[in-house]
Amino acid sequence: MKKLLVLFIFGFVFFSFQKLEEALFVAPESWPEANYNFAANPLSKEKMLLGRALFYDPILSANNQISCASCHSQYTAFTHVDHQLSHGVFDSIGTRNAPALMNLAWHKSYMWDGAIRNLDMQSLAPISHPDEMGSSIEAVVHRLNQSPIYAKLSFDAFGDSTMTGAYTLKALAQFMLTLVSANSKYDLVKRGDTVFTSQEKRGYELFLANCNTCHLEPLFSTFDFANNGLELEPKLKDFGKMGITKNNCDSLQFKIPSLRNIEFSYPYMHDGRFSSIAEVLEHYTNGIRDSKTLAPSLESPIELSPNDKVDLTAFLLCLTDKEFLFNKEFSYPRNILLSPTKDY
Amino acid sequence: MRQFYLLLFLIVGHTSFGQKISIVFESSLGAIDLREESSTIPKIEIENLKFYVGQITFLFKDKLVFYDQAYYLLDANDIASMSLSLEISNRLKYDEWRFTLGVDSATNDSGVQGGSLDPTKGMYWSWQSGYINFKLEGAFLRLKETQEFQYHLGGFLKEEQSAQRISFKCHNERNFLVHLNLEALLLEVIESKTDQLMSPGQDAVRLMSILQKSFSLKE
Repeated sequence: MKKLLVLFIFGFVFFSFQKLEEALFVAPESWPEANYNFAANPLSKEKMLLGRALFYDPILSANNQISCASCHSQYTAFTHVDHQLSHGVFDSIGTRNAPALMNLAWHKSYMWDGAIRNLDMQSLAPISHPDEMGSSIEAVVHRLNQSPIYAKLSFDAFGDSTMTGAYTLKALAQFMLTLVSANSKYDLVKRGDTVFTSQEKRGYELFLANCNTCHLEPLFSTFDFANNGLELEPKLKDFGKMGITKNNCDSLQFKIPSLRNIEFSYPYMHDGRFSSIAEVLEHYTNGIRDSKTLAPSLESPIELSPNDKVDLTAFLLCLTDKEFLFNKEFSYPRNILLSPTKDY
Repeated sequence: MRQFYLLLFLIVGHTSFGQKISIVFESSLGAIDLREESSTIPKIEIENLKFYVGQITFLFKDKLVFYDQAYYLLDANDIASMSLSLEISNRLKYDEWRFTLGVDSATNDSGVQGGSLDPTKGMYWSWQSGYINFKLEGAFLRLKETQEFQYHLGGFLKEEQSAQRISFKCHNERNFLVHLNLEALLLEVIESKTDQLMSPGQDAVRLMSILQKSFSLKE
């Protein structure tokens, strides 16, 4: 009897811990398996908290003014709005539209051109880009090790109060992994908790018929690359994936973005050239520029009537996930980054 | 008697725990250093020479007998980093050993690493994924001008794989002095008028292949 009791207690404790571990990253049911290798960077609350602090801290930038959140604001699906191209240190302007950050564990590569193959390494790019944070991982780690805040966070996360490049990047990746958006009206409908209006339903059918090849549900992207018929922007001369692979077949191929939270993640396209969903739909119906690398699914024009466009837009608005956009777990960690004053 | 047992323990312990193998790397410009300054072959000044060495393996009759999966970052400006020390079993016999020059594809593709592979070591490209396997920076001191050069050689994707395996025959030696002669590499970049190469691709693969033949064991 005693043995049974011990076994029961052991089992209870073991499964409780397992449940806690699982809860750190919740993959929605019916979604495909995530691509991220969790075994190489086991999740913990402490590492996620460190990553969250780093994400919101301008200490990562050369002039201590630009944080990840400067271009990836939570309320706009972790991208910027209003301007086409990202803004960086010393009033510099980048060459691309900051992508929205969500459901990153399912991505196959990162950046519009797929230059980065692993989420752990993603943060190196903006940290060192002269028009983004203008710093280097070496300088960042040096600054972090001058900060008592990070000595404690690092110790809690890694059992070592000295930050390293690996700790910095692993923690940032862990925070970004938590940014899962899966509670839009579309998701509620799929779970049987609500229903589409007739207009949204018609929009969904139009979506499945015209958009789902590239913007595959439930993630609303295959996360592959495609040339979607945009005219080459003459000043930026951005050829997308070809810039990395040097292969002509990849000319004008850009990573297909997810349409989740599209309502809040304008402007659209790699160079932010379209500021509204209406402009995007106009491009796909009347603006496709033919070329050797054009996506096969766009070789025949998409035909949508004005009413179709309205219905399709109504469906796209069903991809807004306000629980994600306003989740306090993802927001600025005031209690860590703001020093207490007498007012508190 | 107590002292005898202590001595016996130390001897037995020493025997079973193994011996150190020392691998020291050095580099030279080869015959380029001896040439007279000319219009075709300039004088060369090296500022930085860094490269990864890893996956050190010992074999006996083609069978693996020792494998160290670690990667070491060798920096010519840091003499201590050019000497590696491995502990192997005292009873081990080997007639060949090898190492990887650069970082293999699997390690490149498996997320962030610490230690010598920490991105703060300046050997990871930030604008794309991948380690720099071999870094050589300096200047060509030509008659009329000084031309700086930078070669950051890497690449791990299909057709861009640049890491090289380098093997040596041996006879159970404990100390190895490995010489890297940069002459062939430098003659190639002078000939092809390449002053900068900092991205993966066929050129990087070609230069890494030249380096593969530039290592030799020194007596």
